[in-house]
Amino acid sequence: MAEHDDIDAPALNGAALDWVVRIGSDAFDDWPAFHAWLEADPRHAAAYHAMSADIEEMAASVPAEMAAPVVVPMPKRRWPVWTGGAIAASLALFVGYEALDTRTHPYAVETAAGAMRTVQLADGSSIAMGGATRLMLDRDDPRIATLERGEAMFVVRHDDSDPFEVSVGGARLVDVGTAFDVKYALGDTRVAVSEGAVDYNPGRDGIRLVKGQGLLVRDGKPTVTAVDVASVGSWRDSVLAYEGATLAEVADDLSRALGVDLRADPTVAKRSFSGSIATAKLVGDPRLAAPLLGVAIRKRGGHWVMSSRS
Amino acid sequence: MDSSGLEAVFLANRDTLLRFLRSLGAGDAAEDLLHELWLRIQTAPTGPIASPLSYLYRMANNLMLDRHRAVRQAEKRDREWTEATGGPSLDRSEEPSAERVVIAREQAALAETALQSVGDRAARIFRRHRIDGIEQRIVAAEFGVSLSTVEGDLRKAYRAMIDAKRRYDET
Repeated sequence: MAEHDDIDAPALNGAALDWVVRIGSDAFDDWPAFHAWLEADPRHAAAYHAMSADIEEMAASVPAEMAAPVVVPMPKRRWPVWTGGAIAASLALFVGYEALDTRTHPYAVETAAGAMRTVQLADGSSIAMGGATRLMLDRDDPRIATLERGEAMFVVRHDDSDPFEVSVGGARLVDVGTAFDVKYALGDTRVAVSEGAVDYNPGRDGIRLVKGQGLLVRDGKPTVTAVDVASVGSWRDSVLAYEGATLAEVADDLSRALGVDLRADPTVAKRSFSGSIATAKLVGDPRLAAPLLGVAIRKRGGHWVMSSRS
Repeated sequence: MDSSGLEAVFLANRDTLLRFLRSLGAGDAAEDLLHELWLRIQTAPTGPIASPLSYLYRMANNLMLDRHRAVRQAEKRDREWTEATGGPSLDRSEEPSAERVVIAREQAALAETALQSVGDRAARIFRRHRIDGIEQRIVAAEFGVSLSTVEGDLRKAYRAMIDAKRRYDET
């Protein structure tokens, strides 16, 4: 940093750190004082941003293995089908702290709707998790993961003698290369491969998916599809990309990405959509996506509904 | 407070908010960002807002943090893309570059060590707030400590992580 030669650098960084801590509380209301501090010296803003970004980056790389059970409070509005999971998760909060001392080996990592998180595994692999996503990992075996719901992008270190294995929707995915995205939502499993290859249910009826291929498993029947390699996992940069997806799927993805409850009503649920949605612009309000999707989005009761325009 | 109330507070404090965005480094984009803020409050789901000016300040602050994060991620992605290109990838591509793996592993180890150095309570408070996303006042209640103790612990944990990261980045 340029300030390194400046004798005031420690004081400057100390002050920036104080603001990051204080602003991190929802109750913070001393904005005029923060504003005055920023205006006092242009280096203050630079220090504040650098501090915020570094803390965010380090927090994201805290290894999950030694984490206390991660139980994220569920958003207030839930899809009814998730209620079971929410109750189980709130039970896990109590069970989990008990379990911490005995170091039981499977553990859950979970994100709230609207959140993202990257889990670094001990072997150098990483798993990026989208919103409302739940993964089971194992302290004893860093080479297995179960995607219980939601979406995750796996960038794994390949090892022929000990391939990385993901369980999803009752099927197995075994990596033969390095990077693939898996989604389990609305009863369907979707896989997209952006680097290397993945075996779906290896064995007699196994399917090898290579870079640029994807798989849709619906009602137990797998169908191989083509995918755009560049958009695999692009949700990590807040871009949802589609090629002929149904609006029901888009609504479900947006719900997870934005932390809202958005549903497609039956008049539009099966409509097809191709294109990209930048979710950063939609935080807190999915209505801005309406023109792009060619639907109306209205608030009804406690949730949002996509319906046909008019 | 309904949205028209929030809009009125926005309009009354327009110049202040613009200056605030500039002070956060918005530069020439300050007017555009202010406009984006205006669009957001018009479409925001509006429950009661206890302190509308604080709410607007926080939205502006979040806009700027998002902006900086996006720039940083784009730079990182470009760097990684440059590093990643060059290897052939047919049926089976190269592994994530050895360097990337090493960096991720080292950074994870650094974060873990830094967190261990600040003591058990501070480490657990850090996890509750930063990783589980629990609001500071609730964390304070959970641990049976004051809000200023939570702030002190977070400060300690952040400091340890930042020092570790900056030392690492310099080498």
